[in-house]
Amino acid sequence: MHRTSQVWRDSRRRALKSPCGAGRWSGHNKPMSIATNIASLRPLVERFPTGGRAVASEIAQVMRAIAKDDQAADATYKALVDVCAACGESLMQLLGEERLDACADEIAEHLAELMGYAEQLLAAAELGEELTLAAPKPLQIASAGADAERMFAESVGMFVGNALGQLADLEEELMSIESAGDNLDEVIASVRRTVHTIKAEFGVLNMSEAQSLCHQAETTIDAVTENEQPFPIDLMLAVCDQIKQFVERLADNVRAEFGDPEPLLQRLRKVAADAAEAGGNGGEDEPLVLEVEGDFAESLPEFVSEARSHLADAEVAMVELSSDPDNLENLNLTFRAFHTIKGVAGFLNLTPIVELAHAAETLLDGGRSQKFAFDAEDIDLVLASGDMITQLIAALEGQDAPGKRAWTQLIARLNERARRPAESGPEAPEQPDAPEQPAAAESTEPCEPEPPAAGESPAAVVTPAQPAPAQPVAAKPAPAAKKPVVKAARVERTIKVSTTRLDMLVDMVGELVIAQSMVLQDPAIQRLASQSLTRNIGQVGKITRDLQEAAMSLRMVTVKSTFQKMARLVRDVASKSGKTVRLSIAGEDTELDRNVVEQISDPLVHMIRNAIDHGIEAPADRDAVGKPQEGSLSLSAYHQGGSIVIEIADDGRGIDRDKVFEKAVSKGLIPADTNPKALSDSEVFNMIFLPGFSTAEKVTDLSGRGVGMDVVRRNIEALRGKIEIDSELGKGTTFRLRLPLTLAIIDGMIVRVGQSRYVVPTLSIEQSFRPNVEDVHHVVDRGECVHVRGAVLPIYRLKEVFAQSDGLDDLAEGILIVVEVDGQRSCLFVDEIVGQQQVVIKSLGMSRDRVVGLSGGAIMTDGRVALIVDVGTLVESVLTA
Amino acid sequence: MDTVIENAQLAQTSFEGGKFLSFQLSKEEYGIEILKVREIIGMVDVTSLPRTPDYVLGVINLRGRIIPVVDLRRKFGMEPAEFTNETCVIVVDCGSDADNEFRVGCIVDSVSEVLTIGAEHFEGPPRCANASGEYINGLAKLKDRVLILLDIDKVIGDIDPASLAAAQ
Repeated sequence: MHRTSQVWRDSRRRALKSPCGAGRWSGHNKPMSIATNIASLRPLVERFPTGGRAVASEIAQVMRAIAKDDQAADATYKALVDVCAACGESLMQLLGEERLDACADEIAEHLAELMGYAEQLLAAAELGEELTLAAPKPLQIASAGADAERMFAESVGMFVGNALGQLADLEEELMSIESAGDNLDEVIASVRRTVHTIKAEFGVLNMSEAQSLCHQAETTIDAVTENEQPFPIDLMLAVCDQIKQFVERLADNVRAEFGDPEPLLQRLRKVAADAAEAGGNGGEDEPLVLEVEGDFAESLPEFVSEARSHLADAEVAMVELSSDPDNLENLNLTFRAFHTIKGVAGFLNLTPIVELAHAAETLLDGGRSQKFAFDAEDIDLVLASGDMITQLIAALEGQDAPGKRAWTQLIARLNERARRPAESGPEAPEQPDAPEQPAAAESTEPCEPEPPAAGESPAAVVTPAQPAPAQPVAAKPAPAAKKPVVKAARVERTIKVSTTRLDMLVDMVGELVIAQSMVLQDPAIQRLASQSLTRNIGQVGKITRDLQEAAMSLRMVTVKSTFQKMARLVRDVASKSGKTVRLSIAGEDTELDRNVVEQISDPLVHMIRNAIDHGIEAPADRDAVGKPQEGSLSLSAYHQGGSIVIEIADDGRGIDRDKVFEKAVSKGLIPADTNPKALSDSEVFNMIFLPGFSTAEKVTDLSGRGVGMDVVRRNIEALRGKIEIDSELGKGTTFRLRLPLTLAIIDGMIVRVGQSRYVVPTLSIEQSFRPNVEDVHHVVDRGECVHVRGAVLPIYRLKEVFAQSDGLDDLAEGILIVVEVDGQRSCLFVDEIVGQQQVVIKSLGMSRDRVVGLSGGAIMTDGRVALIVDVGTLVESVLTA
Repeated sequence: MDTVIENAQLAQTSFEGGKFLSFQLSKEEYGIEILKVREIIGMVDVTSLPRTPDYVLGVINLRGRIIPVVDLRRKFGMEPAEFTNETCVIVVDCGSDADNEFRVGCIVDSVSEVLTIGAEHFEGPPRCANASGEYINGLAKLKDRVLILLDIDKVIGDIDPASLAAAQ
């Protein structure tokens, strides 16, 4: 209250006297001595802590006045004047940025120090003495940099999310080049676009190394396509990898180093140069000449910086346009940018820039007046023009000018695109003068379609490598054969939401479900025999369940991106190991909890490597056994009984059961005298998951160290999943990962011990039974055991493990639950099994190692908490106790 | 904001002053910084946690989130009391940031009021502070009574994994 009114009063007072106040302190009309200014500063400084903006701004003005004072030149006051000037500027800056409050303490301290110094200085000056006291340090606003840093970090954060998606797309596109066939040009164009988009984003963030790499990649793609050379997929994948690694590092550290782009840059340049040579037109290209006459040279820097900012805006607008084609404002903005550049460049006589900007402008004008649909290829062209102008500008600053041929080609393409006919229609008249006036010649009524004139058909394409695939209409020479305009499939709009908020929503919905069932079961409600109430409550229940389902589905993502990564991996591993492998993917749209999807990536990598390196034979060996040379690997995902199954199947040599068995014996994993027949196939196969187990004769750089499968099993078990192996010698192997739909929910058996309820995960339960007293044995020092079908299992009483005071003591009255963890079986003794239910796992709000034997809590339908038993740590803790 | 506090801020940086929630524990009145308090709820069903110190009463369901609750009487070595209608759970947020957030319920006999305490009311912890004196930030002398200001971070931070393991 107090502060507000003070501010209000101050601002009013200032408003009243500001006309004369400004004059008094501005120092223009009647300079006042420093002493008077300092004196007038004193009351202001005292009022500063409570005065808010008004006082701060008055102080700033006095500070400025001091800095401009006639006496300021005097050496005695130099230090003081400097500090005051800095303080005034800092204050103005803080006022402008609305950050005054954040630094108020700092400023108050500084002002106090400053005043003390000033007054002593003045006093000393009056007496004609030298002051020994040092001047205070100029005010530093530390947080200004931090602010910028934070904003930068935010934009990097946004960029990382986008870029990873784009890189995944890029990788997919690169992968599809091999199989593109007729669509090759289209795919390459799309690769180029993606590279360009990424480049633009790097540009915005000022990450020049990454940008230059993208740029060279783009140039190389152009060179390759123009000269019709084979596309360097591996090289581009390497580029993609380096950028991806960089982006991943950025996610952890916004100031991450890019690493050395030079090796890749060199390879890219070499490919580009080779392509140009192979195309038969290398070497004869001459650079464009840009000359500025002396008179205008001084306005050049201004032009350069302005043009760069315009181009940056245009680039952003174009990238936006590609995701939002209906937004004409982006077209307008780009048009204006090019127009401005053209104007100024014309004034400076920079002909190459003028001509190029003019051509781009013409194309943009066609788009914004809706003469034709401005499509992806147009965007590419405009972006390319922007790049070319950037290069030309760089040439003004002494760098190498781009080649004339590229420039001519670009202008030709721009003109050709701009001259293309409007969306075709049957009845409009021909316009013979169209070629001379491309921008104005086409139909002025965009709604009225007209047929393309024969002479304007794309027969005039200048660069045959880019046949405008995205323009089916314009590409049809005969109007009769025109097809309806096929609009690109709309991408589903998405927004990014933080996982914290999402979890909060899921929590609240879960709570709603519980509250709803509590209302439903309330005796008072149940006594009311109202039909409409029952109906309405039923309706609420239905909506609640739908809501819960919807909330849960928010966390679900498809396995598509993970599978795509695997496609890339298959390609790399196969080529490294000299095998040909065809990967077929199915069910990539299957949805899984985000966390699960993230964590299956590693296991899949290991399993696929194994499948190709150990499973699939070399082509010659395959020939010998009558299999097709090309190995086949299938990766599929599907739902089965409340869980998700991911299957990796190869048609390789299969797992040699006997070999695995021998190895296990030789490694001492099973006793040497074990009868091989006593173990089931799956028991033998499961041995390959043991750490250090490898039947591979030689260790390659891909696999064979016996680490991989151990990692696989650990990761899958951490996700509460299971692995199954099917294998037939000589026919192939199938790995099946059975994963829960979500990490948040488990199937649990609700058990009761005394008054407490516990949840035992169904996954670890084998069976439950009421023991016969004669089957129970007491082993000295080892506690109780029970005979179960020939096996002797230890008994753990939950009551004792959890030190409960209530609960049954007599084993014959309760239930024994046989649980299995890590191949170890044991029995838990509980009073009774209450039921089976899916529960949402929640953290207990304390760190996990504080609560041994529990993995979390679950909220039951009555709103109370039941504890979830973690069988693994429970058994462990009893054994170590 | 109050001028009193502002002056206090300028004068003394060790105690910043501010608003405190006061509550009763046995015969004494305590205060904790209001900014640490998330909410106050009545006594609810507590699920006891096995193998934890006795003052960790267990866990409760706070609107879908499970949080531990601590009985402050036991924590401070007082006689446990029957829960009454007055018994409250003060839910406090500790931890430095969102990642380390640690939310705990503190069971107290009753909650009284929110007080503004300036530096002029403040006095450091008494010299004779006993073992649990480390939890005390200081005392606030009001007109007719004295408020013990708790450093709730320390009270709660005591239920660390390390100290828990030591307690067993």
